[in-house]
Amino acid sequence: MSETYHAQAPTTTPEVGGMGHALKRREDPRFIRGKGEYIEDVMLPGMLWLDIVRSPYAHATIRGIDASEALKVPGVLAVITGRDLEAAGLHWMPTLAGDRQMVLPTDTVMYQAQEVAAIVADSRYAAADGVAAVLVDYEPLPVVVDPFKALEPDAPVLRPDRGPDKQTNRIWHWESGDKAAADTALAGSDVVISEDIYIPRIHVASIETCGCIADWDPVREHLTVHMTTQAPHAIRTVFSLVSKIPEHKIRIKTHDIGGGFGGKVPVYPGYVLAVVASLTTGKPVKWIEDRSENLQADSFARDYHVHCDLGTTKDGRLTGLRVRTIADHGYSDAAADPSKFPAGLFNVITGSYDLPAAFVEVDGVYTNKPPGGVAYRCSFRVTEAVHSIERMVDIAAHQLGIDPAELRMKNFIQPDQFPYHSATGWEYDSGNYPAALRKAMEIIGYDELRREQAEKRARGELMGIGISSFTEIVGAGPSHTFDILGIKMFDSCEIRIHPTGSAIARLGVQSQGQGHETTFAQIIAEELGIPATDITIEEGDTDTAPYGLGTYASRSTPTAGAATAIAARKIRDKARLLAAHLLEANPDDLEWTNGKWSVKGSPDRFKTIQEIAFAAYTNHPQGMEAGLEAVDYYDPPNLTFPFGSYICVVDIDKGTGQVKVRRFVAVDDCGNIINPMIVDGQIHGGLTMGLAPALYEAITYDEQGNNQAGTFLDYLVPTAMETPAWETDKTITPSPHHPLGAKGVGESATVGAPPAIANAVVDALWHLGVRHIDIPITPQKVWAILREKGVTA
Amino acid sequence: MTTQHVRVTVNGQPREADVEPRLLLAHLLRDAFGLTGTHVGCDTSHCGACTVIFDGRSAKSCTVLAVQANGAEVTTIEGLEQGGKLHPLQQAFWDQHGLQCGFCTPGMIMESTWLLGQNPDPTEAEIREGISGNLCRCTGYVNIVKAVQQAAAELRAAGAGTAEQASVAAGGR
Amino acid sequence: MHFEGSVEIRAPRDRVWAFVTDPNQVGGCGPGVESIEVIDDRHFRARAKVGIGFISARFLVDLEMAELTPPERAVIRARGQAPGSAVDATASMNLRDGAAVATTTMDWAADVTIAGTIASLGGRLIEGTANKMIGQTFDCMRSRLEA
Repeated sequence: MSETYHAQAPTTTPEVGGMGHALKRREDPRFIRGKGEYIEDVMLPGMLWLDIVRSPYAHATIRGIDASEALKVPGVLAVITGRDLEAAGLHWMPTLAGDRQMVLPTDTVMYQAQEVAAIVADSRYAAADGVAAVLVDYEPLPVVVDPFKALEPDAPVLRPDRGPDKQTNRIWHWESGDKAAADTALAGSDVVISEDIYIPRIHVASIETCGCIADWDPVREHLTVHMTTQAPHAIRTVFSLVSKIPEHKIRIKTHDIGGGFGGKVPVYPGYVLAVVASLTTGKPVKWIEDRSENLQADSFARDYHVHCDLGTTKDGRLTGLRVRTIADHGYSDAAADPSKFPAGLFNVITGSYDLPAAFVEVDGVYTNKPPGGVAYRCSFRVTEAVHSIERMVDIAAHQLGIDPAELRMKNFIQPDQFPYHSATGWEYDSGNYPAALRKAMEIIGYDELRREQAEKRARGELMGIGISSFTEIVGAGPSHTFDILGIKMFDSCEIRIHPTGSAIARLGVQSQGQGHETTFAQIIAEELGIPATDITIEEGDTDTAPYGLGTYASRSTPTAGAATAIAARKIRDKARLLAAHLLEANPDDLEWTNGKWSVKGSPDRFKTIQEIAFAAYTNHPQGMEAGLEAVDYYDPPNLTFPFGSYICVVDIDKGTGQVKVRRFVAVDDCGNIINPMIVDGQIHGGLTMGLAPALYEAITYDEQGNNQAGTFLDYLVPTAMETPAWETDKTITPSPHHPLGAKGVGESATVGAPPAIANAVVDALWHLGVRHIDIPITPQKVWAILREKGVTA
Repeated sequence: MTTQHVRVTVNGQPREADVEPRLLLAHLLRDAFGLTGTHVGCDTSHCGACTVIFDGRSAKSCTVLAVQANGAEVTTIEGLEQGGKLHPLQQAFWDQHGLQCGFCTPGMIMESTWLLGQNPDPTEAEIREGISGNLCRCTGYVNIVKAVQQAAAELRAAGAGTAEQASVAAGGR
Repeated sequence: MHFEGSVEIRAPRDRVWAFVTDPNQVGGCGPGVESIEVIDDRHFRARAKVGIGFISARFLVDLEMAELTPPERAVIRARGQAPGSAVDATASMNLRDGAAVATTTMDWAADVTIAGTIASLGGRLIEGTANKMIGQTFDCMRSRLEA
């Protein structure tokens, strides 16, 4: 184990297209023709439109809502307010984190752009006219924007609806690791590096916003909700519990999803309002949010105020880590973290390093902002952890005068230490951190770059080199530890082989562009020898797919991918019995190779999987069930720990403060690879969503709680101009416990990239006395620093 | 609200509708004509998912009123495939893994058809600048750039200038 | 946002006082005001169209003469609403005789809070726009009083 493989040769032919083949994607023919079917493309007969009145105030009492003018607008059919919902007990709903949030307020709005009323009309334009005609009488209340101020004794209690013992803005306090051990380690350290690191609020901004069509059939008493959700099964259960509609009378149906990145996991009030509107009118009701609603009101990620103390010896041996964090959750904890992990997997903050002692504490805090802490291509706070430790290690290296690569090499968990038990309780499954960093250094020409940097610095030019050697933690998760609202975090696959040898597989996860229709077919092709092109993959219809928790947190391959492999192996086991019957041989005398069961020692006596499938329906032995199908609900024994080393080179314009990423090399290790083309695509996208918060994106609020990045005018999603030509490579260290040795890759690059960029910028400026810059590192910030340090163009 | 009658040639077919003066071209294409390949991803003309070819130039159809399209020729993603053969850009996006969720793809491909019509042999920097009005959240643009390069080479090799391709590349019909 | 300033008006204090406390007169100088409806002698309602950068919104503004000490001091409170946006403002005006005969010095201060879409989208333009609007309002008052 822990051996690094540099190539992984496919064992199937390109025609079969099993693991390791760069199979072209099977979903693409519809997308490149404009024939994808996204939620907004779905039109149902008699469908109505819903639009939402939103609060201009971040905190205010609602004294009254006058909808009389709105109801006079041609085409407007109904107005729904919080009081209407209160009558049905639907004005509050549970969040996935066990808190609750308003569907519509009855008395108080808690953030700017909060839903206040819904308009139902016969067209999208009429609905918007109706929204503009609603008059709401507000009395503004004091706004709490700063989570530190929210914890002060005289701060207004934002959530008086909580129990008498919870009349505070502190949502929860969470600890991990050994405080005494960490304190002792730090006290005995030669040097303690301390830093405050803010990881700002950001938004996934998938190019498709959220939306749904709720379709209540009053005759069948059945509700179908077509929606943009990454977790259809969990949503069905939550809808049933909240609405009291029996679960078999609810069908959640996804369509093509235009990007999710975690932003389509939560239940937003708009979905519930569409359901209420359909129940009220007996007609299908469509709600599609526009971009400014999406950027102002949907769930947000990050917003962690981290303080780290890192101990080290003088020669750079890390001794201990202590972390204190304030987590700004907005007015409700609507994160999708597993219930035992209110701060997600943030305690993976010891990262890739053999840190003997660590202690982490996090306080969740309410403020007058929309729910935060959900996801941005990483749901479980791994990005926050990685950014913190990678910044701290870099500061330590610079402060001690040790090359950042050398300090990392010195402190890496070594390949022979796996499975490695971290100071905060995780068992890392496998890894080879030095190999990945060495490879990245070779590709980028690290030593030569350092020479170039020294020359440029002598000439007064600003160039920086930044490293990030991250460890991910994905694939939640083992049922003994992981659940969301009590539902264990297994995932599932059901495979049916048709008589003529083609197949359909249905899974409990949900693609949002990751290419599941291709990769899961490749897993079955690998396991059964059925060509991937003969296999249909279906997800997102809760009436047909087996139950699962959905796609987020890079969990699809570790959980549903494993379920697919195991279900295929169950089919292979039954196929063996069928083959034995057809070959009149003892099952024990058969061996499986390349899609065939053959008699050991007589390779010409065999039955292909296609022949066996036909027999399963036409010629199965007496006493055996007909058919060839299997289902598996996979409960992973552990999480998986993908990792990688990234190196970034930046040049800084002294005149403008602009940071230009000149090169970025990403060496990733996600275990065995199903489709290398898709893995590379995931890394390219992930890197770009790491670049974005490092340099451009942030959701900020003014002191009145107004969102200051509510459109793409101010929320700066990188274009092709800012995005560098990513250079990617791999090492392969299989997961020892995953059936395919795979680990998951969707979020690795988003997690790993920001500190590489931030470290490069600080590396360029350290000699000027710059120690840390919070992301996003905008030209304004750098420009101000350069002027302060007396640097001129 | 009063309506106006508009006639638009879409993908070579004459189409007409009675529309409110405020109706966006994107909504005319999607809701009235059922051409849902043109997507809407923002409300400030930044994302480019709604890009179409409008009288020979690329245009963000969320920023054009339907009444302004009266008498115009519009090409959408649905109009690129000819005689069952994918346009070289469609093929290249597929070959190079230039798409993931597919939502930005129609706009990205339409913008690229216009770009290659203007500049049949663009450098990487010119491609990146050319598609900088189109946001993609999934791909990191690397493979989109490769796809445009592949299509450019193919279009040039196919005779750079056969009337049909020049016309499709420029979005006209 | 806090704004303050001082203007010299070539008109006697009584006339200035009468002007600034008459909704129909002072209202006509408000930025983008389209109509004024007097509810009673202390309350009135204005409709105003305000543009910041590329965004414009039609506000319905309720105004109240919160404090009137003739002919010295007036405080006006305003709360306006537009779809998705709101503005709350308190403006005070202190009048004193100017240095020259038949002139008035008006020391004014305004606290303005803007919320919602306009604050979000027009954020960085608000302060400049507000400054410009206030300037225009006083220019208008002065020119009408001095006419």
